[in-house]
Amino acid sequence: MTLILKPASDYNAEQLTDIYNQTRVDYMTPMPMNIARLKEYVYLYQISLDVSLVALYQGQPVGLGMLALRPGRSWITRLGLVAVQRGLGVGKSLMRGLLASSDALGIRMNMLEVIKGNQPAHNLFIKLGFQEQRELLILRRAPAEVETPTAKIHWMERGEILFHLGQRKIVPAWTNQTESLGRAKGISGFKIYTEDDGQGWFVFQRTLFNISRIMFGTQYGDKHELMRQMLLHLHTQYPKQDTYTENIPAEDPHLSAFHQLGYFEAFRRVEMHRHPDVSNFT
Amino acid sequence: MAKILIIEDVVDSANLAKKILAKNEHTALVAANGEEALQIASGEQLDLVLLELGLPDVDGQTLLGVLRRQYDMEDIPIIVCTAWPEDTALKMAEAYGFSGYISKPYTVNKLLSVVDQYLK
Repeated sequence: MTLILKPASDYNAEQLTDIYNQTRVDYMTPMPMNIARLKEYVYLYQISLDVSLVALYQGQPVGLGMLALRPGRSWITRLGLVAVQRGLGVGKSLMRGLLASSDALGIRMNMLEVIKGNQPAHNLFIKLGFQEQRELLILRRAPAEVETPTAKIHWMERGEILFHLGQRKIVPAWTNQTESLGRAKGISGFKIYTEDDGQGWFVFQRTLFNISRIMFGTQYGDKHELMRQMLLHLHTQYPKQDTYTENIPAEDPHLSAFHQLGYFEAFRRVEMHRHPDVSNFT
Repeated sequence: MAKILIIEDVVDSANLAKKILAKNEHTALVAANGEEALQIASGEQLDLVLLELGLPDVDGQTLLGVLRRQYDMEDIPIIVCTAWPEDTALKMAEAYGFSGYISKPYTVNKLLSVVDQYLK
């Protein structure tokens, strides 16, 4: 099978969106995008279309892979193949092309996530030198009434929000890194103080219909109770909004509070790194 | 018979569902995304909605909530079409108030039997 790999920048937004959506038909979790969503995705996550690739077979697009770049690391995302071309080596060719671009730029660390259960993709990434790091949960919550919170909150300005995001000790997934949140619209956050001197901070994105991108830190006090109070404040403030938040580590000690407030796991991803490097970034 | 809104972004899937429903004397309207769905819902009296969860502009789960609460569709059957595993689909149905779900890919008979079930 003779494949040609072309830079994604050779295509306009409409063409790229169409190619992307073709690769998501019949996928485990389809996640199609319109042009606006794809453009936002490229911007938020700092995807370089010059080094992202479209795979062509007999002149027709059959696959797509995107490469995002930040200092010292790159992220492979939205790897997808047209359904009839799966299992024929297109994915491997795309991955090799993306990794070659990353290597040529001198980037030592590559990150990606694969949906848990997508064994063919998982096997491919292992063969290419990726190693499992952790599992990440995608949580959803339908709107529902909650009890009144008892803790006090203080809303933060943008500078303070970015400060707290930058202080996180555990490296977040790419979508949740400070650079991503810094580029997102509708970001708000508050600090919380409980009656037993617990302290924490909470950041989220609010759009017309959704709450998303929940980030948090608990500094002093019981983690479960702090998280519970933060979520109570969020859902008291915005009782009618659907909530969707991605890539919370499956081992996060705050998850019990999420479950108590009606969050459930929609699916999970396995985060994988290649040539992991201990870079001090968040 | 019934006026059914199909909210589905994959053109072939939407056309197939429309053809099947039309052959069984239903009027099928198609929306390729959430925005189109809301436009149709604001102007039509619908009897049933078939909703694909993965839409290009808004999640199907979110759209369902908007249709129910803001477009006065509390009593209209909204059937979700999804490739999610059954246990996840059931969780979604319970949490979001779907009337029911149909797993993709579905057969002609399955589609018609689910539609008939919820129109009764």
